[in-house]
Amino acid sequence: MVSESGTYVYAVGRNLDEEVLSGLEGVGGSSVRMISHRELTAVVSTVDLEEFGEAALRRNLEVLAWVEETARRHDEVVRRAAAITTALAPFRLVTIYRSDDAACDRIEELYDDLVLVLDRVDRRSEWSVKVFCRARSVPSATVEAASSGVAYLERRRAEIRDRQQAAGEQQMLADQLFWDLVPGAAATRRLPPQDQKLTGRREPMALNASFLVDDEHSTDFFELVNETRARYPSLDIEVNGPWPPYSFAVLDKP
Amino acid sequence: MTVQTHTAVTTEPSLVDLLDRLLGKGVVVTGDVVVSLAGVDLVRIQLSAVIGSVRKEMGNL
Repeated sequence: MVSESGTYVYAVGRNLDEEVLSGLEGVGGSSVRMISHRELTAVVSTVDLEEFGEAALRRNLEVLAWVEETARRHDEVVRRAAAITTALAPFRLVTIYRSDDAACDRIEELYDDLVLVLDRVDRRSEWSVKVFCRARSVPSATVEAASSGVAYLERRRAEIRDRQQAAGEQQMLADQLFWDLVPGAAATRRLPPQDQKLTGRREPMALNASFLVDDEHSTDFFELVNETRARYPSLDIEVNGPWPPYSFAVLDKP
Repeated sequence: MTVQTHTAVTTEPSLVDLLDRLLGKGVVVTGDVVVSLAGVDLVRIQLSAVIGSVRKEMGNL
């Protein structure tokens, strides 16, 4: 049986010059190419459905090494494309069509939304801001010998209450911090805080947010972040970027 | 791009940060399947969501 192929779409953008990306390797190993539809250009590559078909994906998405390799390659292609245009709408991981024609049909269907998204992200980049609650020193009162079981239990309860209260306060501060940064961005999006098992940090994450920032105003945004560092000494703020505008190219159309 | 301020760190993005964005759903921890990568316990991504969006796209062919 001859293996079937599909068209993997990385992103759609304006004013993309095919020459610049020629020779770039896409997911699954074949070369990245471009297909045009109206004034839009889709960055695509051909994939083997033996690896990227629905049944295969079901299997492969369970293999973390495969997911990582595919995600990193996808990201690399999107970043290279983002570097040569101001307006690029990245697609989700593993967006695959039966053929180039099918991809163009979908782009036509999404045309109005894609134009809106491209206008929104034009000359802007995504910045990730993650906030961690700094570890607090534990009061040494717990060291004193327990005089009685009742006293011990009361103290334990008070400790738990204090800890919960402190966590609530930290969360409130992180929320405030988010709103302090909002004026510096054209759009914002809050992602679910990452689990401690995934971050590998002892401190819990209180905020996982993305900010779409004008490229020409990114310095102002960093200044804003630095101001908040001073204002919220109990929080550890981690900024990362620039990212292609992944979080702001979301088409939630059925 | 290197940013001339200590505010920003420009290193290879972590897989979690990447998947947070590429899947558009956030990465969640579920207790059922734990995958180990280079000795670090990583936890499986929200595969049903990925598969759902894949299927949606495939269904549109």
